[in-house]
Formats: sequence, C-alpha cells, structure tokens
Amino acid sequence: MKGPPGWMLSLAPAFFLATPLAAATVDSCIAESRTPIVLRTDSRAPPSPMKAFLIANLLPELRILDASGRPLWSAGATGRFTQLFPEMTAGFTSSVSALDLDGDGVHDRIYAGDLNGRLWRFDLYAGASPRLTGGVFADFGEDRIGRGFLAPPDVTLMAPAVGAPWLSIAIGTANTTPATVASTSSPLTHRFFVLRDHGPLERWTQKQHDRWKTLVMADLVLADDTLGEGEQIDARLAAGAGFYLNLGTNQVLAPALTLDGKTIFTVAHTTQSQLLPCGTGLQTRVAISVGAVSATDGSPAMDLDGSGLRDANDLNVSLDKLSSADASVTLAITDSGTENNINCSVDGQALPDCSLDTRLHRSFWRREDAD
Amino acid sequence: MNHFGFATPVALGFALLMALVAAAILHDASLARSLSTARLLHQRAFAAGEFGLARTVIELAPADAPIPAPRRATLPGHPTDSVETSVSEVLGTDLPIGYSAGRIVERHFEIRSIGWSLRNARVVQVEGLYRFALAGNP
Repeated sequence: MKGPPGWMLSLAPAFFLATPLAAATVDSCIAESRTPIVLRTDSRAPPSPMKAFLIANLLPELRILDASGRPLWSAGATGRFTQLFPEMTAGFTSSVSALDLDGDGVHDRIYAGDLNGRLWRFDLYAGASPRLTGGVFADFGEDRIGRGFLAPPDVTLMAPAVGAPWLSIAIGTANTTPATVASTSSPLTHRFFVLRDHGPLERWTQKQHDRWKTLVMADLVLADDTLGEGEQIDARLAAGAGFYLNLGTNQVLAPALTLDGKTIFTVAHTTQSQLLPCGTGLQTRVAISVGAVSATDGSPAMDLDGSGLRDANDLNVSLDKLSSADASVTLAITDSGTENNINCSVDGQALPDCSLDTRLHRSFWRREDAD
Repeated sequence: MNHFGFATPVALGFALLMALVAAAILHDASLARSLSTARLLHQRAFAAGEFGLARTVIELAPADAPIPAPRRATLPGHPTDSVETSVSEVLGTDLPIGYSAGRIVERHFEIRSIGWSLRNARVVQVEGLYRFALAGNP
C-alpha cells in the first residue's frame, strides 16, 4: 500500500495534540497527527494497558502503531486494512480526540473529523490486537466542496441536574482544498458545531453504529445571534442533536475549550487553506476572533468584549493583534501575589471573563474515631 | 428488767445510710469530673484535628501546590496537644463534568487529621476536597 508523501512524514506531530495547553506560537502544519492512546490488549496475561499512537493524515485511512512503530491496526475504505469502513473516503489530519470514559487509564472512544466534513465516532474494544467499531456520527459536508474538519473535536461530558448526561462535541469547519483552488473559487462559508452524543458512556457494537442515523444540518438548531443572556434557542435542544453558529468565511483551525459548560472557540479570518506543507512561506499571521457559547443552550456565555453584558457581540470578538492562524484558547497560570489564577489567553492575549476556578471545594467530612 | 433501746441501732443505721449517700455523692462527683475532663480533652483533641485540617487546606490551596508530606506537630500554646496530618490524592478524572475532556482534570484529595490531647484523647477527622487543574500538572 502506498504510504504518505515524504513531506508529510517530515512534519512535526501536530503540536496542539501533543501539548494541547501550550501557547500556539507557530504557524500551522496540520496535515498529520500522531495522537497518543492507551489500549488494553489481552495478548498478554493478565491483560494490560499498552501505549500506542493513532496516526491520521491526508490519506483516507487511520492507523494505530505501537510505541516502537509496529503497525497494530489500520482502517480504510478498501484495500489491505485490518478493518474496512466503506465510508472512509477522506483523510483525518489533526481532527482527532481520544477519550478515557471510565477513568481506567485506557482510551474507550475516539472522535475524528475528516476532510469532507464528517465526524466519526469509534469505540475501542480490548483484544489480542486493537479492534474498533465505528461509523459516521455526523455529516456536514453535504456538497463535498472542500469544507471539512482540521481542528480536534473538543469533547465535554455534560450532566444536568435533571435528565440524562451527554457528550458535547465542539468542532468547526475549515478549508480543506489546496490554496490555489480556494483562491480561484468563491470563498467557502464555515460553521461551528456543538453536537450532542446521547450515548456518552456506552460502547456501541458495529450493528449499533450501522443503525445510527447520521446527524445532518437539518437535525441541528441555528444559535440565533440575536439571543440575549439566558435565552433558550429552542426546546428541541433539550433532547436534540445540538446547535451551530454561522462563521461566514472564517475558519476554525484550533480546538475549542470548555470551562464550566461554556465553550470558547477561536476563528481565523482567512480564506486560505492551511493544509500546506510546513516551510512553504504561505502560512501567515492572521486576524483572530474569539467567541463563547453555553454548551447547554447556545447563548453567549462570557463577556469577552468587556462590555459588562453577555450578548451576541461576545460570539465574535476580534483580538487586538494578528495571531497564528491556528491559535487556540490556552490556559496559563498567572501569579497574582496571593494565589495562583489560571486565566485564558490566545497567543498571549488575555481573555476577560474567562478563567479556570482552581479553588479547593469540600466534598465530604467525616469522623473515623470510635469515641 | 432489761431495756432494749432502739436509739442506738437507729443512729447506727442512719449513720450507715448517710455514709452510703455520701459515698454515692462522691462517686457521682468524681464521675462527673472525670467525664467533664474527658470531654474537655476530647474537645481539645477535636480542635487540634480541626487545626490540622485548616492548615493543610491552606497548604494545598495554590493551584500548583504539591501534596503536603505527612507530619506531626505540637499545637502552639498547647504543648500537651498535637496533630498528625496526611494527604492523599484518591481520585483523578480527565472527564470532569462541564470541562474539556483530557485538557482539564478533576483531582480529589483526602486529608486525614488526627488530633491528640492528654490521656490519649484522640479524634480522627477526614475531609474530602476536589479542584480542577490543567491536565499534566502535579
């Protein structure tokens, strides 16, 4: 089978997967990712976790290699793969997130967005060799015109006080055609999605994946930009598939971040495709905007523009200076003198009203003496 | 003519009764004092334990604080009282509710504080705490 082009192999691993919280200071080389995963294999007794890597690139396939680079598993549409998924007709590049859902140190779920705008869900099973079940969870690339996913999905477990939990999956689209094509055709429009997977902790069989009715645009609610603080989008959201925002020609090139049920995302103001080899000189620093929505109801969730209100303006707040095209929201510890605060920033620019509460919270108290 | 007086036995019986009452009162008083002392020492041991909890929470408060080592210390102002504290991280999940999976972790701690006072008065308190932190941080 033909391997990836040489220039692709020479790319550094996707930096935001390896160090998702590090400041993004380099221009994008997001054509390949090497996601560390931990598998449970029963080829040894007793079954024990094993470190491996999930490899995704421009080719329509996924591969798992062990720590020494030995192939363990592969998937593609046709050909000599460990598993065949007929719909796997586009590459995945860096849009991959692996999750450990039960806290046992082994990954159980993978979400991956492909270059054709489809979000895949895979469930991992233990075996003598890796075995996955999977399928297309959502398909937003109706017209296959070069709009797909480059940034990793941001996945968050949501558990309301009343009702069943779900996984919130935040992901946005970007240009996935070469720059030359994109520049000669009309600019593509993009969207930012916050989807709901109502089977958050269960492992699906392949039959369940095959029976799944793939989510499409018609299943989602548009988060109306006229909504005010606390306003609900639609009652359909309560048990629905999620919502989306229209981004115009701006692209999502970096993973979102969810804090306390509020999803913060960045968009790059560029119509150029970022799917280019590193070092071509075509990667430029661009204008970046940031927005924040409630993962529950899609309303503006943070006062990012410092106006004192959380309103529609907080869905698209331009940063003061140009940033890397794939700048993501990062969290950095800043010493305020008395205690440490963890604040959000994008390429070194602090975001107001966005921080991680790291204070200690009491969960229980008890006495253990018998007196 | 023999006269068997009844005054002497009555007086003796009364004296015995009084002795019994006095003994009972003394016993009650002694018991009450003993209980009171035990309760006081117990309260001091409890306070020592509370002091250990409070001090450990302060040490653990900064976002990047390491887990304090186990230790035993005498209470300032009460040389007869002491506290022994230890902290363990009992759980860590990288799927905290409402926070990005794999990027934010929820860390759970258990502080065990044993307060000591005189006569081996001892109170063991355990407090559970949790906080959110960046994935990969200690």
